[in-house]
Amino acid sequence: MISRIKVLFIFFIVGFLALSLRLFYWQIVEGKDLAKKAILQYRSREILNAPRGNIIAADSTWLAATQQGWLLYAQLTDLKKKPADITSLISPLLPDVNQEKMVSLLQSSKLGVNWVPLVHKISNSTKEKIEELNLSGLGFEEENFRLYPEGSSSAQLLGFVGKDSDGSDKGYFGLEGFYNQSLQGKTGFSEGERDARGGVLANGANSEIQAVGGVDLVTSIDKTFQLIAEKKLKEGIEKYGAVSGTVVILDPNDGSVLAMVAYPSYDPANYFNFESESFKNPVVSDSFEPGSIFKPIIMASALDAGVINPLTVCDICNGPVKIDKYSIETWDNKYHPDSTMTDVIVHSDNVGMTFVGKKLGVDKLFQYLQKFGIGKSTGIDLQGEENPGIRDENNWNSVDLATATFGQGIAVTPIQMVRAISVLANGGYLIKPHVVSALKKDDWISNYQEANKVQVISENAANEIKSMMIDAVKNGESKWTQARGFKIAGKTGTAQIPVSGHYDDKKTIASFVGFAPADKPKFVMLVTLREPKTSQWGSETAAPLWFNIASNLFVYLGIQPES
Amino acid sequence: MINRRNKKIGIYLIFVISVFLVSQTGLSIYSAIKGAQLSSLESEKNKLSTEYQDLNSEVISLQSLSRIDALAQQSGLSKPQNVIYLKNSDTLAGR
Repeated sequence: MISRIKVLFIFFIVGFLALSLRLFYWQIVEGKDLAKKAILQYRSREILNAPRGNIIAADSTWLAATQQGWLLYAQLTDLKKKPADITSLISPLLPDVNQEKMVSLLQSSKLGVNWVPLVHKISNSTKEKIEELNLSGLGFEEENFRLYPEGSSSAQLLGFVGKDSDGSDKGYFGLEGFYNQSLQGKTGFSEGERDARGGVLANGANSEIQAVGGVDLVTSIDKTFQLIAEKKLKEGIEKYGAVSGTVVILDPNDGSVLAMVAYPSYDPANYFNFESESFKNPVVSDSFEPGSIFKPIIMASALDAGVINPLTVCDICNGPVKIDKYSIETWDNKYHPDSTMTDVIVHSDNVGMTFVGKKLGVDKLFQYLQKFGIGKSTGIDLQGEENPGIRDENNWNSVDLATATFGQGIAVTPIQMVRAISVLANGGYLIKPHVVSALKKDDWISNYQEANKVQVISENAANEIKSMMIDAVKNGESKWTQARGFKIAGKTGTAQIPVSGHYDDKKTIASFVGFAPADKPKFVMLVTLREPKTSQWGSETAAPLWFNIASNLFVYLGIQPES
Repeated sequence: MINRRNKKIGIYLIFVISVFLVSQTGLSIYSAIKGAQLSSLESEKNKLSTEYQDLNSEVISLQSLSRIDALAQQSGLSKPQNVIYLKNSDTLAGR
């Protein structure tokens, strides 16, 4: 009897020890790994993507928005049908997809690959239809993508969203690049306990750090301005056989950018199909020698400095003028003795401008260039702004002084140029060009704070140069192309392109800059055409294009002719 | 005497354990129901969110000026070529 109890006791002891050892193994030896496995089974951790902020036009419609989409992927080890069969089943739902490419992707397991992305940017409805096919081995991953409803019309202005080295979304170029931090928001996390079927356990330990969406950018871009500028620029480039072109339209009173177009362009939603060269915005990144459109800046400086007035007579304008070993001539080899300063602008007279340069002198010229923002970045809120700079004050000789007065030997970006011309349009104040007028998120809004305007020239000097530019439009080389009845102040420009230390005789950058209505400007616009073929002159290419765009803008803005 | 007391304690314990078990079962059923409701609400929320996203994308695409311009051209609408401005005195109201 006793021995039976003993046997039972030993049996229990052994059993208890075995159990203890097993428990020790599970709890202590394998404890950490098993705990991890258990957590993976009943706890789920989900990354909550922050929706990227929208980019909104001045009329509250979208320029860029984030759309929810899906990535269709294949877990090759779980495929139960043949790649060709899978492709033939899903390809009717995905008409844009290359079937051969999909079959080869589905056969990647031969290369040792287990997981392949098949199709990006799949809509919710297509996803549902594919899911209904119940194909084993295919799955979806949420993948937000950027929608650009205006296509390529604002590509260089907006930039695009690509991936960074970690595979996260990142904005490149334009507004997407400049405001990437504000647009991208903060990713969130959701952790919780789930049952065997993946459902939420109501009394489980659930926690969530919500994603914070990016802020919306409210821009000053007028979509109508943008569309008109884009269409007309495209037409102009084809008509005049130019290689490329830009149009930039600013409100000269506060510096807000109303339109900014460059052509050739690219599709920001499919940026990967284009050369990286097309991504940069030539309005802020490309510098050029401005040529005669620079003359009003120098003339305004001389008027403000008081070294000339509109009636001052040029006493060297009767022929070419020699400076050092160089001879400065007019563009058409016609000379106008005793020209007034207004005539110098109207005739776009290089010799007359040399006269102005001599009156002004290097020191003052340099000071005024700096005041007009030449050689300084404008600080525009777009990624990729370049500043070609100007030569050091001590390195100017008499030839540099003379050529700078008619826009040679000095480089500017289109945005620097249009900013400088805005000074003449708004009564003498240097403005800061900007695209974004407010940052917005739900009920929170932060409006653009206009910096204190710096007065560059007096209002009187601004009015005098404005009158000269009105005369230049009425009686200058582009008079045949002007929009009749409207008071427009403008200036044509034809700049030769410097190539390996000399100027190319045949290749030019044709331009026209102006503002309207001249007395109370609503916009200042610069048009540039690179290497036009039908004519090299700005008066015969960029000027008609400028007036063509302006005529459309007058109708849109309801601006009536004055006479 | 002791037996009766033990019996009472036993009945009391059975009652307590039963109450505990019933309440636990009830709580589990309640949790399961709420969990299911939560899951259903979550999937409804996701569905509505997806629907909202789809509709929003449609609005964005429909508001595209390039699209409207192309449609207008297809419909035979064209931009005015020669805009004639009337003087105020030319209009009926001006007379």
